[in-house]
Parts: sequence; structure tokens; C-alpha cells
Amino acid sequence: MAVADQQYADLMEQLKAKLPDLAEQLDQEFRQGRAVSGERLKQEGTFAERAGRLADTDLPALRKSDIAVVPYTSEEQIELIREALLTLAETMYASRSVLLKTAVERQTNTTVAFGDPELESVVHIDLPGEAERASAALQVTRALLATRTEPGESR
Amino acid sequence: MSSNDLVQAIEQAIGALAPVYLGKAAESDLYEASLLVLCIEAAQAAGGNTLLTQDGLTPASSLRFRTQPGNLWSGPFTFVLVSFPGLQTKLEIHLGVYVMASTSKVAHECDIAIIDHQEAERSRQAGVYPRSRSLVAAIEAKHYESSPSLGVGRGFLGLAHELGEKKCSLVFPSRSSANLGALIAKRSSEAYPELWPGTVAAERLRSRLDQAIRNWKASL
Repeated sequence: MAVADQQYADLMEQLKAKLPDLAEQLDQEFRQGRAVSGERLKQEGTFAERAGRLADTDLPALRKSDIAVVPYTSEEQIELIREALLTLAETMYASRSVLLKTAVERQTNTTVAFGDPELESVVHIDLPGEAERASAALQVTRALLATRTEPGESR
Repeated sequence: MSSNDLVQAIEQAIGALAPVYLGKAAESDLYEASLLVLCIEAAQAAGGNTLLTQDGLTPASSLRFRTQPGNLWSGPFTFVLVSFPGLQTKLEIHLGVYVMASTSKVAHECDIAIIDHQEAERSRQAGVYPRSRSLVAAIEAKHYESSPSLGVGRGFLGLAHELGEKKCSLVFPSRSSANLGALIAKRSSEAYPELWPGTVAAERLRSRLDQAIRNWKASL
């Protein structure tokens, strides 16, 4: 197994253990692959092989308007994990923060409740505490992940 | 950053985020509630005065929202009452309520619904679904950090067809896949990828809702 493949597999294992919802979302996207137009297929390295198969079997040639699906590489998958974690961090903080701001402005209790007390157990979320925790996590995540990997950098 | 460094950074980020993450349902609920705030801002931009309330009369002392879709008339949930100076007609903004498609007579869940107040009052008094013809705008929210699948897009288009294409917006925090973007691009409904409070996408949605409310006012 190539290094990047092993790195990707290890990261997904960690995600499944610690952030399983995110792992599931990413897994679904990875399984679907990446849509590529006929024109861009030339940059994917499999154009000649595909075009050759069509020519060999006397079928109509590839056109710009064709759409193919190519699997993500392990490097691309790792990059998508990075993006998803940053997005999660940003969304978690922004949601809590904007709700807290509204609660304070409207002079309501800063603990928000989710759920119907007659039908389910109600979840209470302490907005000041959760916003502070999410802010700290966002700062850490930004510091760690805000820089993209430069293509071609050595491992 | 080298690939090894990136992998290490990702591992540390997972470690930082996991203890703060409240689970799929709670994070989704918080995201939808943040969109309610965006609707409040849009209503204010359109000239409205907004009241966060549970009884339609007094300010809410605490915020309580649904976790599952429900009937507008049920439960002690917080909604927004929007009044406009010089206008008798008002609007309401709800989270997670069913709205009935005027043509099919089927009730569909709206993650966020901006509804004519009179229609909402009719719903409460008679215990009937609000009708889509009185829907000003609806938001389908998907708290996804990677692109929602094509199935999500197809589901959204079905919902929009039922409730009114121009009224419906699909929002999510992740970027959009090319396929999902292409599916919705030529429709009257809009998709807003990379949307969370404070983003450019949030500003674009706020503008769209502002305009929808202004159009509703102008049509009275």
C-alpha cells in the first residue's frame, strides 16, 4: 500500500472513531468519485486509454460534453478531509456564536432548548460555554489546517 | 506543509474538534437555528420589526426549537413574528414545520419557513397545515461538511416543485460537487453552498430573503 493510501486509511479510522458522522459523509462522497468533463479528462491521464477503447470497438469518440467519474486519489481524499474539518469548525462556532448574540440582544435565557418535552427528552445547550469551546477548537483547527498542501511537496 | 505534516495536523484537529462536537442532530439543530437568525436579519432589512416569541404576543424568555418536523400549531416553540410599520399584515418565521403543497395537498417539512401570519394563525386556530401559496420563502438546510449527494439535490428539487421553485433555497456549509451544482443551476430555486453565519453565501441568501419579503409586501 502506498504511503498516501495508508495515511488516508489511518485518518478515516480516526474519523470513524471520533467524528463518525463526518466520516460517513466523506465516505459517501469518496464512494461517488469525482465527475470530470470530457474536456478535462485529458488532464486525468486516462483519456488515451478510454479513447483507445472506443476506437478499438468502433464506437463514437469522446466529446467535450461527456462526463466521466474518476476515483479520488488518496491525496485528494486527505485534502477533502482537511476542508471538511475546517468547515465543521467554522460552522460549529458560527452557529453557536450567532445564536448567543441573538439571545443576549433579546435578553432571553442563553441556554437554548431543542425538543418537544411531551414527546422526547429535551436537549439543553449552554450557548456561552459551547461558543467558548467551539471558538477555542476553531482557533486550533485554523492554525493547524488553514494552509493547503502545496502540490509536489515531499513527504 | 508536507503531506506528513498535514496528516499530523489533521489528527490533531480531529482531537480538538471531537470533544466539542455535540452530535449530528444537535449540530444540525444549531445550524438551522442560526439560519433563523439570518431570516430575522432579512426581515429587518426589509423593514420589519421582529419579535422572538412563543405566544405571538410577548417576547420569549428562552429559546426552544423543534428537533423533528412538527405541526405549526403544536408545542411551545419559539418563532419569529415580523410586523411592518404601516402594514396590518405580518409574517412568521418557523423552524421545522409542515407546509401543505397547494396542488398535491401533501404536507412537506420546511426546515425554515417564512409564512404569512394570517395563514399561520389559520393553521393554529383550525389545526390545519399552512398552505404553500402563503409561503414567502422556505429553506432546506443540510448540515454537511462534504458535498451533499445528488440524491439530496433531487429531493430538494422535488420539494421545490411542490412548494414553489422560486421560494425554495438549499443551503449547506460544504462546497458543492459539480454534479449537484449543475443539477440546480438552471432552476428557479437556488443552492447556497459554503453557507454559515458571516460568509458571503449567507449575505447572498439574506439578500434573496430580503427581496422575497419586499415582493410579498408589494403584492399585498
